[in-house]
Amino acid sequence: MKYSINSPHGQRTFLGYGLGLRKEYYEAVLQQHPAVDWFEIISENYMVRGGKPLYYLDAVRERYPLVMHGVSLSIGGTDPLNFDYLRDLQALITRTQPCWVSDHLCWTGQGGHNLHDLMPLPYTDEAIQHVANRVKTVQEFLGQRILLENVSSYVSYQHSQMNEWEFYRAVVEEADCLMLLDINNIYVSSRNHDFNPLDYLNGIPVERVQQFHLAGHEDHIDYVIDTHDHPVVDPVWELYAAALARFGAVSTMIERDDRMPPFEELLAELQQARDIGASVLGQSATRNVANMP
Amino acid sequence: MRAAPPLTLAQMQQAFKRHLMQRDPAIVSHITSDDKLGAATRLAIYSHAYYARLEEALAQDYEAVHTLLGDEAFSELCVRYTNHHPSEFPSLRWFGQYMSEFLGTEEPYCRHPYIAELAHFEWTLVMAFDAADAAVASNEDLAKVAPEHWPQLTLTLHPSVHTLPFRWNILPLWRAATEDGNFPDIQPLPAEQHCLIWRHDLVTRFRTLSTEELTFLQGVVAGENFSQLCERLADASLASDQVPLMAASIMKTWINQGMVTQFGI
Repeated sequence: MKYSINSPHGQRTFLGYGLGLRKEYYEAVLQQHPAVDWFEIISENYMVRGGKPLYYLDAVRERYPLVMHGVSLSIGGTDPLNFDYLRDLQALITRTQPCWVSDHLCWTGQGGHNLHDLMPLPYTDEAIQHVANRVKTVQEFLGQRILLENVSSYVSYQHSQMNEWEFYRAVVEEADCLMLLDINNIYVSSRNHDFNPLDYLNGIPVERVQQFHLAGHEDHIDYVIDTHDHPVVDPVWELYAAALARFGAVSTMIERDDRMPPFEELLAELQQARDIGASVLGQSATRNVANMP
Repeated sequence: MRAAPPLTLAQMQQAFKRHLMQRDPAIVSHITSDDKLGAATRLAIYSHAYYARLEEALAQDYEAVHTLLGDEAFSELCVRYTNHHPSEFPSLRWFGQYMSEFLGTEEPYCRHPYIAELAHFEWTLVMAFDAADAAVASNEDLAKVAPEHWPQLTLTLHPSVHTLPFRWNILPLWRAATEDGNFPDIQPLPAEQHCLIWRHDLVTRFRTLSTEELTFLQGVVAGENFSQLCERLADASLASDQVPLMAASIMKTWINQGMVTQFGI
């Protein structure tokens, strides 16, 4: 099947530098029209019938490109895929015409219960086949390739047969989907599971990567929690630079979900991402949004 | 520790969920421990996050209940509620929907019925906040209805319009808890009242309903036309010559407050 977003073998779409659209910044975005190239929305926050969420969504969409990022697909779950959810997702896609749609390589519920957390999968052949089959079904349903994001994790399973990046790569290649590489999550998991984050980057196929996430976390010395409530830390910026050197120009956004700073602070943080991008990639990396369907 | 025999993916997820929800230790032997952190400590990160995230969602929807109970009692309530009503929806939006019922039936909360009533009020605010959009009707739209058609006139209410009965002084209580901190003495009302909750120009609003407005609203919800609505008002013991005026006045108020979307004849 041919999908409507660019193939991993074609030219990657580079949207530039974006932010997560959060309600605390709705008015600032509409009134200041800040120099943010695009916004990412949490899909579930807009699966409502009306009111402020959809009003602001439509208003921001008139001014900026959007991508959709879900948290409840449970692509690694063993309950049947939730087609009511997928229909809601499709309706939101029709409404917002996002550049692309992503969710996480994880499971989020079991036995009809939603845990509202990004639960890690065991890195097994069984899980690769299971997830890849479900991704194929979702892509058929939505008529487009989706992006899967690597999650932060705090446990590993004794019966895992490979490391995380081998698993991640195997899933996306088997499913023929794309990758949303969360640079902070790689850092967080490298601290929690004691691996070299550069080994992770080097294990990721360049042509599958469509988007980067950056975020802050909470450092407990012995372990690190992915909280999205702090600025991005220096080791993550360094890893981001290494990722740019390997993958080239990749649409990058900063996720901030708690302890929301003044909007100007987030814009300054985004400028830091731009500066690193310019320094690693030179001026050759220009947005090519016009290539989007 | 010797490695436990591997579980299938489905068994593993079931065991992990049972650990989060019921502290079932079966998953522990399938999780790797290392020098830094043991399996139990690693799993505790997930258990903590599970309850913390759901409590955060409930605190957003039930700000006044939270303030009224205080942090500690609210946290305890959230754990009990979460164990009783695990989330069954992809969005946290719906997680808190059983709170009023829970508070109304579980000890010790049910001994203080105003807590359930306050929660019902807060949940109705949530329902109005993101109810479906609909264009509102204007006084000009009403003026277009020819006088001979008025007896057959029907109204469609905005999807965000809700009513809610209450027997305690929860409105000043809610204001105190969410705005000014001037807590009133909590007391039962002399008679049951009804609150109207709706959204106008994206802002969620509420006010108490007069007996006449409530009567009228019940008729509108039942699909009655203007003539039937007037009969209903007359039955509610208004002097009959006042009824059409009263009915027209209620309709105009509702139009001006963005509660009406359509007229039918």
